[in-house]
Amino acid sequence: MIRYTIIRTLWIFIILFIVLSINFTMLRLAPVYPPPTEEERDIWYARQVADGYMTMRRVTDSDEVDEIQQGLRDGTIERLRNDRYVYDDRNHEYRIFEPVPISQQYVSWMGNILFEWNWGTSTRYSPNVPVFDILMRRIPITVQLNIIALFFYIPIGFALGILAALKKNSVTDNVVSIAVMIGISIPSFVVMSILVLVFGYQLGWADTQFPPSDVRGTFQVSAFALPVLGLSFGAIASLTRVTRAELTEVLTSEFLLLARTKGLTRPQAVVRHAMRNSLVPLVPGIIFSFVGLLSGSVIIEMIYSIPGTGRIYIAALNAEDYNLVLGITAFYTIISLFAVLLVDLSYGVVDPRIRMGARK
Amino acid sequence: MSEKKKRKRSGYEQYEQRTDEKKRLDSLDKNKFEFVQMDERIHDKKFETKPIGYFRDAMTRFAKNKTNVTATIILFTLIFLSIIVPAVTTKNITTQEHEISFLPPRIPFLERFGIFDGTRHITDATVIRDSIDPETGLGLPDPEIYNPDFIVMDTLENYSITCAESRPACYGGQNVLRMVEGTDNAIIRSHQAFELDATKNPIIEVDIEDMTEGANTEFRILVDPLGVDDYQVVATITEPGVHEIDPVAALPDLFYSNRPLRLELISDDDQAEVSLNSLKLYDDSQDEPVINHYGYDLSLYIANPGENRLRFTEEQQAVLLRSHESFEIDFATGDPYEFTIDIDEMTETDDTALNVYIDVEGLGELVLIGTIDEDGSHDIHIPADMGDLLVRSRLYLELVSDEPDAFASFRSIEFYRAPEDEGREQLVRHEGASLANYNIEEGEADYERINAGGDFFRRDGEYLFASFNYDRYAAAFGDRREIYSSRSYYRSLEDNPEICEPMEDPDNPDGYIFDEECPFVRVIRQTEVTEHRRRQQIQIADGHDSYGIRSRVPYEFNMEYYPTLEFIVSEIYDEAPTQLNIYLDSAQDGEFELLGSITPEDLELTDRITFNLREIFGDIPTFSSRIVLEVESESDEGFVTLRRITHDDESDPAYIWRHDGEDFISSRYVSYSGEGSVFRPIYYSYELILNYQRYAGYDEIPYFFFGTTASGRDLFAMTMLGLRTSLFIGVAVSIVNIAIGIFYGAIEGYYGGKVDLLMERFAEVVGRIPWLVTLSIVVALLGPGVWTLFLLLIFSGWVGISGITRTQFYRFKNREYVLASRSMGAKDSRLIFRHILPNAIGTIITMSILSIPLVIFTESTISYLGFGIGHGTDFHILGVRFSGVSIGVLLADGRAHMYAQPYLTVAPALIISILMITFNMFGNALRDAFNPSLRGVE
Repeated sequence: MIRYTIIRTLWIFIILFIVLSINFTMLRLAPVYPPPTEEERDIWYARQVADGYMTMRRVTDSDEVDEIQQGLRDGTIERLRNDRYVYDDRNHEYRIFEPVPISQQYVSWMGNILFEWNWGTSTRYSPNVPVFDILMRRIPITVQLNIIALFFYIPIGFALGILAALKKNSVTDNVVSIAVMIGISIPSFVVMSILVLVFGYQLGWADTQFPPSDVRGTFQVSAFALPVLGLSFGAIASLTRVTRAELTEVLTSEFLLLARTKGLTRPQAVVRHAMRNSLVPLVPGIIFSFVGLLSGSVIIEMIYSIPGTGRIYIAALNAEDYNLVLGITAFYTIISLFAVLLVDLSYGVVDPRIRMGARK
Repeated sequence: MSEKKKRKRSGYEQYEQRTDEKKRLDSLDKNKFEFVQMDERIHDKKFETKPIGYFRDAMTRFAKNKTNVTATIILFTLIFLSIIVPAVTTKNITTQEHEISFLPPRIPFLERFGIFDGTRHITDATVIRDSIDPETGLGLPDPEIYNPDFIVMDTLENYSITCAESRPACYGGQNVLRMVEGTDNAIIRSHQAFELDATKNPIIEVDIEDMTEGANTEFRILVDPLGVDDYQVVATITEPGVHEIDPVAALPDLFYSNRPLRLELISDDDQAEVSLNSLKLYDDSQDEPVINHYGYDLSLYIANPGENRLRFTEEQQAVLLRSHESFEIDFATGDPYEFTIDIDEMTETDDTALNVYIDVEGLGELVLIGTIDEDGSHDIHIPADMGDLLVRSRLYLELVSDEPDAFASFRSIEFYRAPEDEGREQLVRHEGASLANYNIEEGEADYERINAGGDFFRRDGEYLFASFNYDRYAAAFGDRREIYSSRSYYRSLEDNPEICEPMEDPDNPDGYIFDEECPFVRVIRQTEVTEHRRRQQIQIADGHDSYGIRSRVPYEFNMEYYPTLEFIVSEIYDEAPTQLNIYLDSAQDGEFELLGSITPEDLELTDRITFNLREIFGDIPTFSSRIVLEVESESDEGFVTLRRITHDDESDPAYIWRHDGEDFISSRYVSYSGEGSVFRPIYYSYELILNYQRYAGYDEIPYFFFGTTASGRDLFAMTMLGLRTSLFIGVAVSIVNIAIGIFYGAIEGYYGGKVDLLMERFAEVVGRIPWLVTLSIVVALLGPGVWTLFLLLIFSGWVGISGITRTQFYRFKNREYVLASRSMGAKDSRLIFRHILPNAIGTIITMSILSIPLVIFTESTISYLGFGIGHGTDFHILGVRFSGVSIGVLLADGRAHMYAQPYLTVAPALIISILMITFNMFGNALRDAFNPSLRGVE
């Protein structure tokens, strides 16, 4: 068990490392668009140098400065991506900011994260604000939303699945099956749009936009009702489907028959024996759907204007603010891989064969 | 079943039994039996018990389940529609036709029942009071917005809402003058002058609804008889009611005065108030009152609300003031919003500034939108790209300073919506009492009202609204008022020579009417376009082919600063080759050299043409030269219309000189060569009534099943088109995924061992990368587009299939027939493709069919987020053109209009839901049919 845990944990960290590195390299290859205004740009470039992503050199020789001026005007100077030529009027000199080779940037980046927890600064969305600060403000809302959704959909999904499995092939089962079919088919943003349309605009039962922080209470139902419903819809359907399938299979197995003949009542047999067996494949499903929930919340947040990580992800991607994008994807990667780790460990807990050290 | 013990019978008993049986059989009626198949040869007949193939078996099973069959039929109908409808539809799906945008759905049969009949129920339309029909008591909305011809009159209703805003639509009510706490008087004056002519016996009538009585409260009316700003009392009122005042009787010196009226409220009670119904002026010149101020007009009277002053009480860096209510900013409209902040006075040192913030996201995170550092009225704009939906935000004002008692006093703060081509619309105004409600959020400071002269506000006014059903189709296709430029007007007349002949309109001498078939119904009037007064036209004279003019004075061009000459040309005659040549005497030797020419082709992209003198003449010394402009044409009708000439260079000022205006050519230039004239052309614009149905060429008003989109395209056809794109992408990507997946999984499964381990690990890494990460990488590197979409969908799609294939391969790898084949010397590829794979095909196919809806699901999500292909881009595969619009894109479009046009969202959502559901059911049914053992296990 210990060995298993260690191997899996190590493996997860390796994957995390690989994914983040690929992410970083790819994003750095894309053109970087620095902040729009002059003063912000100065601050930003200074920051880049301090973080080790760029170097600055001064050109003070008067002839060279003239050459550069001419070259810029004529277009003969080849500017690499992200190069910047700052002309200092007073001293008639140029400060040139040039990016450093990517491998070196990578090392600086790793150093920045590990030693300083510096994930870079945003360029367009909130110029020169550290990425981590921007994220920190929004993560609580996203996490809150997803956890509420989690606590909402799991009991309902289970209940429906068990109901359908116990009353197999009856009317209830068919109704649930149809509902499940509909639930897994319809995309989440369609569901959300319809919910907002019907309950928000037409009936007016819930808010049509996520209310701002000073108006909203921590658990205000009208604010959270629609997004939670939108998120859970698909998740409930999946969970119901899997629960029903697993439970059905277990219910027809022989040890359950033995339990009944031993004298246990139906509820007792189901709860004590059937459920535990069917849980094995369910737990990973739940954890994965939590990750799915997080990704799905991107759309829900966009439709409902919730100031969470999903929404600024889209905004950052559109604004080409890649530092911010990198930070957000790192967040999502960490969470999803953490979930994977949890799943792997849970296999160990739930399935004794793994615990005993048998090969998978 | 009972089990009787059977003992062996004796011979005699058997014989007995047989005879008994025979007797029984003989007693049966022979007629009840007949022979069958007597003459047929049974031995040649094919028996139905022959075993049927795998697929036939599956199909029979498939067809038995009625639900699945229905679902499959619906699915294939949708697919069929998606292929046929966009190809055969006559409706518009490509161009933009804004006149018929946002039409509601209209379905031929259902419209008789009143649903989907193309009408929209409109509410909250402001009623124009003049239009109130005395018989019915109902008023109509603004005819510019809702044409009364298209209102379904039976559904018209009026209702009123109380209001107290200072807007003309808020009608009637009282206007209340109230004293400010701590003061002892309140003063207002009329915004309009009252003409008091003693010879006409003017009478001022004031109708007071209510006023505070007692505490020495007096309401005084004052006039300025001599016009020197010396106001004198003409009446003192202490009780409510209608009071008539004769100003001449009160002030015998009054002969003539045309000054605003002044009204004062005085009291010992500092909460005294007087509410006025109306103020009228009568005189002998007419029976009706000369001036009749009530409701909105009365609210325009000018009070002195005073200022609100924010002042540091301690030494500190900054104090933050926050508005008491939120402002609603609708970014979805794209219109710019702005605040106008009027500062009466503020500390003016270098380090003092007033920063203006709003918090767009409701997060408490303030975004700076402007800074003020001096007195006066300042417009602060809110950038339109700060958000994309409706937000509510408060206004935050931060006073920063190093001065210990820095202050800023605000006269008013107004909030405007300022769309580009319309005027500003004031949405909110805070001053005086309302401005005093702002709160100090951070810092130690005083915030108080000073110099208040009283509050003047409205009360109990009334908005009158109408609600009705509006026939949008008739309105869109019916007559509409348009303004046409003369060029468009004449071009339209030329395009329809016989049917469009202007005829005199008996009702309107300035206008014309047209025949029934012409798209123009009538011309109301033609007016001169005054904006084009700045243009100057250089026209060649009859019989000549060029006309050149020369500037009177020379101009200096300083070559050190890279000078440029920019021409803004409105028009060049294009019916024959024509161009404008510009000459300069760069060598100062009396010889003019060509600087450049402007042709009609140059004007296609832009009307500004810039010539860079250094580029053209090279590095020559600074020179002084006159400018020569020459129009050259093969037709003697050639002309050039110029708007402006600008000379600029890189030295400090914005430009060196700029020539434009009514006669900038005729006054500065003289003839030089050829023959022609220079004049200011007169342009007309035509105000006319256009019938859209005739204009667009519809024989009858069309039916749009799902309505029309924002660009006037038929939503039904668009949805089918989008469906086609989505389906195609779904199938194509699935095929690729399956191919890669099978290939990958086969190799993994077949070879096993280290190869398997490595490949499995690789697949795990790829599969575990969060979808958002791949999205960001691909979008960052490639931008949104066709290949991005494909790449994203393929990226991790194959992992699932490869896993299934791998499992299947493990199952079949060790079967005996494989072993047998291998020992006979079969190569690996043969084993894989001829033996193992066909066995796995069943499972693989069913899993693959189910992957199509998943791909469509992901694709629509990506498109919805805006990273799909989008409008305007088409992509071609094998010669077939697919539109870039997919259902996800349609839904994204509909999102912005969810409140006003819900059908833009409902229709595509319904279609995609049906598609997905039926596809899933089809896939499930297929899987059950192929693998009956799996039935019930999902």
